[in-house]
Amino acid sequence: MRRSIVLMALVCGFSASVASAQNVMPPPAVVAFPGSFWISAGDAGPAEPGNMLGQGALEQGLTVWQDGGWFLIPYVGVSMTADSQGYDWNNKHPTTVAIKLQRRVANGVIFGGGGMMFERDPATGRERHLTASITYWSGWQGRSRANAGGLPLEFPGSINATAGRLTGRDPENWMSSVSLQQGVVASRWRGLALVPYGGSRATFDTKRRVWENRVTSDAGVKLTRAVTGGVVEVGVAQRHQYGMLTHQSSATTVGFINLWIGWNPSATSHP
Amino acid sequence: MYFQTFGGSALLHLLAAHPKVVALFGIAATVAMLISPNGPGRDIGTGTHLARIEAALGSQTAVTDARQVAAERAAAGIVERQERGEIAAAIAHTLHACGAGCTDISTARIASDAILLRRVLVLYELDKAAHAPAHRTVESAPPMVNRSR
Repeated sequence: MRRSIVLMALVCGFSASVASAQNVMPPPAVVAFPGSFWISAGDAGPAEPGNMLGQGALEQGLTVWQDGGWFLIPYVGVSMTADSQGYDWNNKHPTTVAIKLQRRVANGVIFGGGGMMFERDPATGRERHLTASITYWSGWQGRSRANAGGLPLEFPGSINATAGRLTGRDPENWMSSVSLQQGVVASRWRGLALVPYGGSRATFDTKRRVWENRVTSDAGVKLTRAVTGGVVEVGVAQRHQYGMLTHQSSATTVGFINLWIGWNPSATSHP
Repeated sequence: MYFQTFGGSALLHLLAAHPKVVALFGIAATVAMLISPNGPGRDIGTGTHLARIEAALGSQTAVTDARQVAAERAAAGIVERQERGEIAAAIAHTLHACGAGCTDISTARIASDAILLRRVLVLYELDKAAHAPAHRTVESAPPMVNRSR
């Protein structure tokens, strides 16, 4: 009986589909702990020739409210950036304590929120800054018509748009970026996919920083593999960068490795 | 910000590995239970979550066992008949019920994999049973002997 109560709580909100479960009982709470970890390493690009850049971030949240595809999540995030040439702006480890409202949408997610970021601003010496941002991400496998028979090829891609006060080093600056990447699966072998791709990312800001107003475009090839809870990819690309304020272009070949792992363990509290 | 690419046959395999949950709630409701802030059914912990739900079925085990037996029998019947239209429709129904998380695997690919096809057809039958009036699915199941827990 007790286990049955737990079960009914887990499916609270899906009553229309669980009519055959026969009993309707008071729902206990389901608490989930969504989190993620990602690392990205590779050449910094033509703006910093010969510089290797590594980034990593860990985020752990707590779902305090959920209604269908809506989630309210306070979270703590720590990140780290380091480079081989020791530039000050590439060597930092900010921490964020914030809350976000997240909405699952078809093949993607949109979320917005705000909180406090802990990162030293070299200009003022201040360590704490308000942060706020909104992000939209959508990814696809290019087999969206699989139900109707599917296409012989796969076209994985993603789009990402972010805007907000994103760094404690320039806390009053509202920065935005939009990126699009589209690939085609050339071959698959034992869980590995070879994906030639093209992508572009535009960044701009309200303070008109030269380094924030750029269009970066990649044409490359990568190997991707799904791992438990995420994906890892390794690739090379020809990267072209255009400064929108300087009207200067540059290009170089870059290599990269990216890893993303997500988790969402949950616990049920018994009434 | 860097996300995984959502969706995948991993979700389909996850559903197939927990037929009792699908038997009770149907595919769509089971998938809905697995939605995390980042996606349906790909995060670490999702399988554990589903296993925990399955372990908590308790008093519903007789119903799910009966539906599973009936679904496996019905799926075997579909495979034996080899009617291309029927198989394609069953796969399409299953993928549609699974939703955005199952859009990267095609009907043709499932049909060409005998083991996966059988699993998908079982899911299809389980989904039908979950949405059918209870007395119909119980009637169609064979007598249960020594299945009580």
